[in-house]
Amino acid sequence: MNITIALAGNPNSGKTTLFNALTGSNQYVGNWAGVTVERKEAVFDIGEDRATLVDLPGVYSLSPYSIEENITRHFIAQHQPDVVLNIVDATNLERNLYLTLQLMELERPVVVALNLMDELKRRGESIDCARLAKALGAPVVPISAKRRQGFDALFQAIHDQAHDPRTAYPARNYDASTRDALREIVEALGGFSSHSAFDIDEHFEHRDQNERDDDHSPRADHRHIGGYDDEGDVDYAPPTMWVALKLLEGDELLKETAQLSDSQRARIRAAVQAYVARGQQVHPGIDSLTMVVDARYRRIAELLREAGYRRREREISTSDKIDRVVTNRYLAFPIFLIVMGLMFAVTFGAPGTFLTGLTESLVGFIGDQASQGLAAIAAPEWIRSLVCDGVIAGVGGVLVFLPQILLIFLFMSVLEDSGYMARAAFITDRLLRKFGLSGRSFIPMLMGFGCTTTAIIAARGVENERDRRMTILLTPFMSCGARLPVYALFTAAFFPNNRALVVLSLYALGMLMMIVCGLVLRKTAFREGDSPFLMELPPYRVPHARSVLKRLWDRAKDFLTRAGTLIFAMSVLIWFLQSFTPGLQWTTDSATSIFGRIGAFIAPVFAPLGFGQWEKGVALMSGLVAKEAVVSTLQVLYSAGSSAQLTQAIAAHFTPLSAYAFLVFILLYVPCVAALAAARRELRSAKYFAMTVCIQLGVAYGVTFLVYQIGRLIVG
Amino acid sequence: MEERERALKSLADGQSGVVSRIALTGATKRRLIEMGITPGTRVGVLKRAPLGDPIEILLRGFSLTIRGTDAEQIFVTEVRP
Repeated sequence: MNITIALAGNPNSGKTTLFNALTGSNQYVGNWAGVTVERKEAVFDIGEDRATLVDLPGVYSLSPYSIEENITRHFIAQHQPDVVLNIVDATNLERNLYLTLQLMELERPVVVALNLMDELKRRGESIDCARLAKALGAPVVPISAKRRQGFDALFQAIHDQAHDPRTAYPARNYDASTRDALREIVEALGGFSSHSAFDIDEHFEHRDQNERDDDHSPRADHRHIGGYDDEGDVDYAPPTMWVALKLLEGDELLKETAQLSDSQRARIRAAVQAYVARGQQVHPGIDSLTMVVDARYRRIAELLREAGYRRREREISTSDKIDRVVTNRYLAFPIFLIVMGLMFAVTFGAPGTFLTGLTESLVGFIGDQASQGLAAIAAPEWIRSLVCDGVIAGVGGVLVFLPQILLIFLFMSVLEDSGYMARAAFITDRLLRKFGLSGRSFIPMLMGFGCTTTAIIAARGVENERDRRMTILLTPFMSCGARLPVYALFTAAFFPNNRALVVLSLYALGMLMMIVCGLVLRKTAFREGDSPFLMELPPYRVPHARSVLKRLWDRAKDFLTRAGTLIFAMSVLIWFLQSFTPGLQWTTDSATSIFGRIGAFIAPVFAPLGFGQWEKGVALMSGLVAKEAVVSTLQVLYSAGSSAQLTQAIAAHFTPLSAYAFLVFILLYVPCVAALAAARRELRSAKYFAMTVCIQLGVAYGVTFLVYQIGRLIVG
Repeated sequence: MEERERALKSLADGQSGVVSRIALTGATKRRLIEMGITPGTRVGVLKRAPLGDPIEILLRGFSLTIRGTDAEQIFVTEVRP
């Protein structure tokens, strides 16, 4: 039998660890249709069954407010997985069980995997899983995802739920007042339709706990509420009881899509009002949503009591002691700077440069071998050029980033798993919020000074989608390392006495533009969403080598795949544009190439910026391949044999003002293709990508224009 | 005598109180109450970030970090050290 298992749980509950432990390496990673959230699936065997495990996004609840929540709820309600595997963090039972109750309201068979049981015991707490299972109406299996313990029992429970599904009646998790309101709403909706396998009384009947009939597996009655979700399935039909609950909570969207008659609406409104009136006798001013949420939490307290669970008063833990130093008012920032400095020194300093050099030599070696090999078989010159100057130089130019990307990810994985990343976000959030970012954006922004591509990929650590997109958009304003050779060349030619000052002014200008754009975007395209910033400071843990290496491997695989496909194609395209005339004649003279012609064509556009000559336009376009390519292109175009000659040529072709304007443009215009490809991929939206490119080009053009024109007024 | 309401944000580190009301609306309110910040729940302030914001709070046996702007709108009574 083929069974589909949906894996759901809170963020930080060990969901990814469990997914990897269950499925090994045979995963398929894609995206959810139409949205931007990663979708992971894997197939593995449970006994004679072939199980497809679908990793749902980590969520705290199933409200219709975030993409992640919509995906999770929609997948379970609409695709009806055979089993919902709910991973629960045993050290955080109350909040995790909140999701469990909501999952069970979707009336699919649930298996609860109680993770981190060892940690619960270490705290001196205990829980009776059998009693919890009985009270909850779903099997509860203690496991340790990290140590791969308890999996046999887990498989058995999944097997049983798949072959003999049992779901509990969700209405029973509510108190008498809530049940009365629900009954009234279900009846207003027309009750359960006649073909239903069970009747409404059974649903609501309040039985003795011991009488709870787990042997019953109701086939839930469903109600069509097409158009409720992003997915836009017209036949979307979650359980009627769930619809009633949402109506009781006052879900505005559902009121519209449930297609109710006026009399139905009136009856439901009356039921909700009566319910709220009962609640306000206890808590004045309370609303129905808060009452339903509170009812779930009260049920959870009841469940835990029945399972013999007693929460121990929180003691001062090792994590708290570490935090007293790490988030200390005076020590927090110095420690943070040391950690960041170390990360930087290793990645972009000697160790990283050494590995990059090694990769470069390897690429160079392959290039030479290919060149010689092609010469040996007397291949035409254009083939040699395509292979060596196009493919190997292009793909190789991107491949050299791999060691640094892996180093950064090694650091990031270790920082993330150890719990420090959350602290870094905690201490920097206040600063970054001013620019429409959050604490999570700090590390990617800082890495932008090293390499934009790496930084954009690192923005994955920013959980909130809006913040992540802002981070990706703003990171290129942090002047990356590849722009330094260009700065070095021009400052040597024009500002030999003030080189550091000029370069520093460029870095400062980049940061200023980041802040200005951040402020503007926060007020316009990226308005602060109506969702609060919530974060957890997980306990410090020693990172697990296997999971760190797994992520590094995934990252490397991903990067290599891209280098082999997208970057390969781009390299060939750019080579073609550089090597052929518009009449498709092979040429070695850049001026006559398509690129050169485009350069000549767009040159007037740059005239108001102070560099309206075709060589400069072509140099800027070659900067798209890699920023340092601007230098080599100018070298070719000005036929400068040595760097001294190049400095002279630059001095002859630029004025100090146009040179500075040129540098400003280099600083601000779109990053290289590798970074653009990364941005396109990580933004996962053509619209935002187009917007990013437009903003960067617009800002570069506008600022350079101002610098040059105002400069001309001053210089005269 | 009824104790006066105070904003959760005004509690010192280590103090706790019982949630009386949440003066927020929409998704923000929904998210906070679904995280367990419902009326009648005891919530304590654990610590603040070095710049005073965000704030780490403890409730129902777990900790959570929220921003000062949200903590200003959550009111508590029965403040205890």
